[in-house]
Amino acid sequence: MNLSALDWTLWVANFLGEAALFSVLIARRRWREFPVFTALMGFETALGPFQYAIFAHCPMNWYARFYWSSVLTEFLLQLGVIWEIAQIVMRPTGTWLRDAKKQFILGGAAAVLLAAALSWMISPPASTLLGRLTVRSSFFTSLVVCELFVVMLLTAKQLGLGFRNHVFALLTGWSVWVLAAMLVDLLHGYYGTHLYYDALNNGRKFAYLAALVYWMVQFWQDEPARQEIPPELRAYILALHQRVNKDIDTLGARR
Amino acid sequence: MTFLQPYLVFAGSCALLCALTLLLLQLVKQRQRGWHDLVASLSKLDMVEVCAVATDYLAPHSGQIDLEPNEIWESLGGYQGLRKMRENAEVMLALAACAQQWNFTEAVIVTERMRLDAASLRRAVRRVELGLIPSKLLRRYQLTLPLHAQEASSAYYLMRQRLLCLYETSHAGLYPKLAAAL
Repeated sequence: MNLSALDWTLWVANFLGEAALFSVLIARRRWREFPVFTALMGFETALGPFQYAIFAHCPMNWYARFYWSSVLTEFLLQLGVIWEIAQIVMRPTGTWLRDAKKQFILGGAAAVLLAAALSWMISPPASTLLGRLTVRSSFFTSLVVCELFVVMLLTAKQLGLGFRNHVFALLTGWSVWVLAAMLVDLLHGYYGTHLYYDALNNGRKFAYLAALVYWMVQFWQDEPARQEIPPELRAYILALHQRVNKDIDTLGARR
Repeated sequence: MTFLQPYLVFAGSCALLCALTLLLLQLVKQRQRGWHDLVASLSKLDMVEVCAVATDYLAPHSGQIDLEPNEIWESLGGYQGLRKMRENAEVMLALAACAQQWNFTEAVIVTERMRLDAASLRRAVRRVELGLIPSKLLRRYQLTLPLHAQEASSAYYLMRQRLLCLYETSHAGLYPKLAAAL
């Protein structure tokens, strides 16, 4: 493995950043509110050393299997984090707002289809099928995350929903990283896997590192105290939503 | 078609990047806005006319079909008026959420009720927008356009009333300024 000093530095910095963020999430008990995000950070922390050990000591086909399974697990966890954010933002009183769930799921499905179509359209000038697949899958992941964020932000804006500090930090940090990743993927699609590949990848890693530091600072700090909604009030709001939904559905069916 | 693909990918990705950046900037700006900024961002509407159209729909009386479709449309300020209502609805929701710091229980319930009204308002405006498209396929929406405009005005009227009543009981000091802006 021929890694430059910069590659090593970034790899170690990313590993330390992920481990530190994971420790912050555990120590400050943020995992209670963000279990999937904490799991993602734990997974990312463990992934690097495992990947390196398999690369160094196992046959290449083992490494390929491990690599693709980890990419899939990472993608599923990322979707889980987006769902986690959506649940916090769009259920301010513990129940989904009318239109929000439907709008988010329909928008999400359309986003996946659009991302698949756009990723299929790019034709990276890579020499191997694996190289082309790597560029396409990475572009697909960035597109899906970016589109889901757009759908979520639009829905929240329309419904007048606010973002509390931790959710806001998670969303903004991730968005900046996704924006950088998408730019890098677009350029990878144009240049292929040879030209500027490492330099562009380093740009993505720097953006990720910046996001890790930002999250560490934000998740270390406590949010301003908030008044909890009492169970009776929560039950009342749930009943209100159910009644209004039923009325609207009845009216819609009569029309 | 194949030669168009790279341009389509590039255009699609750029549109997405711009949309996300714009929405993030709006979110950051929205979090920095205080109560007075929110009130200042409300658009002025002719509430006498809007109330007349809304109460005609919400409180039926004898001669309830006297109001002509054209009158409804003009009283609400046409499509521009409906757009203003939709934009104001977002600001009113933020103002209702602000009131949670002074009168938590009532503000939580009122905000939820207003969110449901806002959903009706958005749905009605969406149907009006469909009705404004000159297509035979959307004839149904063209015929029901005044009805949906009136529905939108009634949802807006309810939101406004709920918000004013909430402030009247929660923060009498801010109430006059809010009432004047709405």
